Amino acid sequence: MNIKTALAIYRKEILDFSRDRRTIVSMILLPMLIMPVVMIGMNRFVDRQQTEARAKRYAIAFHDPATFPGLRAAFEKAGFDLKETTDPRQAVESKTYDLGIESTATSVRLYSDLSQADLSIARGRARETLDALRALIVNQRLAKAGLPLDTLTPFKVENVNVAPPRRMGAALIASIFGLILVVFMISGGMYPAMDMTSGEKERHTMEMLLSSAATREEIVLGKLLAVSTLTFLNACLSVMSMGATFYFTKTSSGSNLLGTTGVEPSTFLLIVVAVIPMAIFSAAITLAVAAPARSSREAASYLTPLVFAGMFGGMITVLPGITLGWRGPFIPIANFCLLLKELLSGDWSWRSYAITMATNISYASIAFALAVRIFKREEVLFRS
Amino acid sequence: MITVSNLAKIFEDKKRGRKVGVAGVSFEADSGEIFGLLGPNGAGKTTTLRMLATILRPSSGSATVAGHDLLESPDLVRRSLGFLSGDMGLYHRLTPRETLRFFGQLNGMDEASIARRTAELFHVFGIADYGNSRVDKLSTGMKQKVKIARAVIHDPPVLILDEPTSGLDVPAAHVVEEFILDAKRKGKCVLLSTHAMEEAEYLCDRIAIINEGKIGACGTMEELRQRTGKQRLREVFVALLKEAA
Repeated sequence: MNIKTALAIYRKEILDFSRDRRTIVSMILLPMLIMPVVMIGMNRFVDRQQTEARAKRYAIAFHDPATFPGLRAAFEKAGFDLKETTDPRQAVESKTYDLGIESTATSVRLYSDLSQADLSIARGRARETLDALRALIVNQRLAKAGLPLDTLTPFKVENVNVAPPRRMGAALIASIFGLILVVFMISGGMYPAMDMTSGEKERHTMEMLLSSAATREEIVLGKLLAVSTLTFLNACLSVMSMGATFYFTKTSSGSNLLGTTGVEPSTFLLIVVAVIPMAIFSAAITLAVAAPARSSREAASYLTPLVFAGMFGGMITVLPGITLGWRGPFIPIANFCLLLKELLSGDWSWRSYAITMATNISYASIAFALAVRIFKREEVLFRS
Repeated sequence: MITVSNLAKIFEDKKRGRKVGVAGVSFEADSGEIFGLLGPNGAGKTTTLRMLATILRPSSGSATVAGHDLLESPDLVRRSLGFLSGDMGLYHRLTPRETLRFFGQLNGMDEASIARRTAELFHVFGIADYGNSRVDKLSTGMKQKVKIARAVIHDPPVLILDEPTSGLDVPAAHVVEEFILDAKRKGKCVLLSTHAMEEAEYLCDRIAIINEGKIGACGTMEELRQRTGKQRLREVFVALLKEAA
């Protein structure tokens, strides 16, 4: 195999692609914009909804035949609008009121429609009001009986989180980082792979390439390098995009999510290096899958399940308790996602890193061999 | 230069079953000769040419191109020939200059040789003014000239040209015909497939008529005239097809 020939094909593919507007949009603009726009937009939207919900005066259908002591005053003080009704349940069912309160001699009923997710804050505020009222009554009774206030609470339970802030931030990011990255890599490599295989058939340029002095190995290597480069570029842009998204995403403490991870430059470098064999593996698979297709549309139908396979592999990282262990490094896609998760959380080993890298290089080699084999099958290249 | 012996191609298709593309053709074409391969659509011309270009693997038979065996040295065969098939496209987002440079590189040429040969071909085909325009901006005729220039960038000893004047107007077709004749004068072996009978009659030293995957007749224009008693190649062609049927 002549590497100069493969590099000539590589340069031609990259040049060809750089002049395709669709590529610029699908591979650069979309990954750069979608994540920040969707995530930051969602974050801002949810923040605004919660702020509005907290300030809103909710209407309660109020029925207090037992004249429960302090009940009306507690809800009025908490900022609810109370309207006297005889059937608060029906009032909530008909959505005339947000919530319903009804007292009996021994209980207070809180009516709400749980299917209305937008009223969850109202429900929470109503429950907090009732809890505060109950605590007030208990304390009054204890005081009247001459008992200390801690009679019913002999001790408190304190939850102490020993995880450093970095691991907490990383846990949030790491659970979705690999999944999003893999999906972006596979989907980002799909279009170039289609264009360089079935697209060449559609444009009748494949025969021209096959009749040149280049061998099939050189052709596949050149195309593989090109798709890998574009996949890698897509991954880098996705990482930058996610970094920007997490930077603008505020945690409950008000700090930005990226700042809590404490990811060091060396970790970032390790992630970038780990992306390389994964990008080659992804590129080789997409080329091998797209090559037999007669048209780009057919290729897209072959490649779409790959994105789902990537999602499935990436979702393993979201499951609790799953680590690389001794089997993890050998599971395609999932090994990469788990490695990223462990790198981000700072809980990784060189052994796992090396085995995962070696495994992905092996898988990339197997996928390359498969792609070459497919390119040598004339019934695949000249299907009609 | 080209020696073909009982070359056959059978396509195995799960849905359509076995289909004979080429039933076993034999012919020889020498250096300094333009050899015409004529036949109706579906006769097996393109399949034969694709086998000689090592794009399709023969089911049986053998062939050599410039002394290299198709099966044993496909890489050397491809280096020795310039192949243009009827429905080949071009990379639309590249310029003619970039296209020629790319295929020059694939054929192992150095940059100086590519530049020299590109200038020569641009001059011959009259495409110098469009050398830096994107291919998708060129006219059909101009694209066809670029396709031919692309096929011969490495100055191969053997040319396999399928419908080289397709889509060209008369002056442009004349340029291509002169290029083919010039290649012959330089000692190259040209295997030409065309539906343009006048062109075949003008250019070809010998002509083979292929039908249903078999060569029915082969000879000089004069020999074919004597065999059929017809004068024009079109009439000769039809008579030979009837004879074979």
